[in-house]
Amino acid sequence: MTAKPRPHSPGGGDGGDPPPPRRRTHGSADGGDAGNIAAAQAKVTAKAQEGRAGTAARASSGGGASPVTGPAAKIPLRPPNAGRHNLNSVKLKSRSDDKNTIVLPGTDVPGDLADISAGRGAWDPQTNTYEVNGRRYGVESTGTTFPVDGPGFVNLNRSEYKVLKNLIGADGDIGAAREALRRDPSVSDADWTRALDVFQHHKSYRGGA
Amino acid sequence: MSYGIYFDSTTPAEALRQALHTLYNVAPEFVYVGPYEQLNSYGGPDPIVLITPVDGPFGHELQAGDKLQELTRATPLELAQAVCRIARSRALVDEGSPAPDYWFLVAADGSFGRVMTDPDNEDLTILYALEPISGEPGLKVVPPPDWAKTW
Repeated sequence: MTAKPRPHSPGGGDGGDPPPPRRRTHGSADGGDAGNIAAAQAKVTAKAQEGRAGTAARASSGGGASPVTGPAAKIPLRPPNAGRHNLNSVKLKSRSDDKNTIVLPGTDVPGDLADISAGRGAWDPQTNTYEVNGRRYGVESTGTTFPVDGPGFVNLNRSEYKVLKNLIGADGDIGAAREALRRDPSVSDADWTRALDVFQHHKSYRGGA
Repeated sequence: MSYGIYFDSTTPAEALRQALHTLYNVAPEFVYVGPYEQLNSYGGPDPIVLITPVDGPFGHELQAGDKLQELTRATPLELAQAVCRIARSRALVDEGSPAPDYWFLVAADGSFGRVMTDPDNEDLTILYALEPISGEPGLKVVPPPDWAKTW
């Protein structure tokens, strides 16, 4: 990945300027496993098993940690907002953003953060993210972390996330969710595919997708 | 393209609807204003824009899709700037990074800049600006450390 100089923008804009170009991120936008949520979930399970074996090995050999780099060396890291990101915590009223990263069940985010704080994550100053256990996290200025991509993370756009929220709000009743979104101008048929793929991992999934 | 813009609660929703009409000739009957749960019982034509209430100081959520983009040819930020100028409002617009608490605040004069909202509050509440915003001279600016920048 080519290093990209950080723009020296004095401010957002005076009302006429477009925002400056964003710093580059690498990795796929959909969590590294385009269009295949089930495969992503399988990777989570495999990574968890690998991680547990690795953690045990590292613990027995003295930890395997390096000095902590990046923001974790300066401030305590806070976990991502569960209500926004954890699939089984998302609610109908959860806010939709342009990019919404869902954490699939079984993804060991606390373990990742513990590894980062113990020096087992790699800080990339080009992208301002930690890579740990195959997953990437960013850190806001308050120390709150947010998932970016990797096994167990799925990126949904605004409309897909809205469909997912309505499936959750309808307690798995797909017909009821479709009816609730029937006249919403921001949701199209195409938004249902990925949302349903993700929803199949939700605790209220009843089948029928 | 989808739009998700949060306008200041102190601006009447009707003013936002009127601004869309004035700026982009969006007929008022194609702008639904009201609770999302009552959308299906709306007696007008299928709307192009929804303006629904949400909790917090930015309590009007404008939602729309491709049809609004066809009419306006505006990005969400451009649309927010235009509406804020004419309706004398402020708005929060997604700034495009995965960071959930970084937003563009658009001021009433159309200027904008990044702000940090409270990660512990489900409502959109601004903690401080991350960079100076010319139209919000009274907003405290706390520049982020380099490691926290997504731009």
